[in-house]
Amino acid sequence: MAVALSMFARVALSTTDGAFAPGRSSMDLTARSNDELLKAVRQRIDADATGVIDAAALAEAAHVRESELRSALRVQTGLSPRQFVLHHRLDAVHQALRLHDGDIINTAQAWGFVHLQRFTDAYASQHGETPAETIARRTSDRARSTHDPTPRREMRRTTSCPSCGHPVALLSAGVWGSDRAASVIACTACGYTGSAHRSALATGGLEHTKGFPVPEGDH
Amino acid sequence: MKHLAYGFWTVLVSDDVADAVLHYSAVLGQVRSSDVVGVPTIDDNGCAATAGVVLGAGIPVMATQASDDVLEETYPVFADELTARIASTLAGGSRLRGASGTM
Repeated sequence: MAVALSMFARVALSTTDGAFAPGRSSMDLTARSNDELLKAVRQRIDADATGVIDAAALAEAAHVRESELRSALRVQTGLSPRQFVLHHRLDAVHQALRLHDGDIINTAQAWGFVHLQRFTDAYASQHGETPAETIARRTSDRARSTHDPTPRREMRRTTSCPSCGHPVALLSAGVWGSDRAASVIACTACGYTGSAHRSALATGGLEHTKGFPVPEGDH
Repeated sequence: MKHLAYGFWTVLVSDDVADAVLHYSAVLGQVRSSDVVGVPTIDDNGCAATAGVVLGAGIPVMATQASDDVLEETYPVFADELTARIASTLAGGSRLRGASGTM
């Protein structure tokens, strides 16, 4: 509470854009001051991506006392200053690997990590995946967006069941598990299943070449 | 890389740092002196860190082999500083540096 009041007072004194305008509550100011504090802290970490940054340096960057910084970070993020620095850097590496073409070693080094195995453990602990898995996901996402930019619309073709005449959907052969250029039908009315070649479809009939026709008595 | 054992704790350091610390510790033991050194280490998250240790006579320090890492760095400035301290100690320089000798 003391920290919140202190920060409230600090913002009230330093703000010249109508901080006390009607309708703006102290909660708004506290939230805003906390946002500003976090922003300043993040900027300080970004400015020295590889250096050892302690709580005093972060407090100086945010223009608060070290105790205020610790309390604010604990309330806002649940982290200590040192944990916050690590968390921010691991997030930065994650973003860099996910969005850009950097490799793991150079990206980790760029954010101050000097031991790959321990970095990987910390990264996996925070993000639930290893850096290599992040890159693999990035690659697969890009490949999917390149080769299939729009969701494929499923084609539905129908015909009538050769056994009972009930309308049935033609399914792709892949669903059936066959590599043949054939469509598959499965009648929900009589239980007939079979494959239909294009030639058979072209003439309006269905060639029963593969499948499990239901015994005559069950039709 | 090396695990540098100090008391009940071990810290992960690069090879050149481990060698420099062992040599300086041996020299301090020979002349019955002590010193405080900030040793560049690697913390549990893979970040650079510094461990402050007292080296001197009667203070055991041990280095054991650790697995290599592709991000391993060398610390020539630290090694050079300890080399200078070794030379100063052997030349009869300050026998007790204390806190003022902290790197």
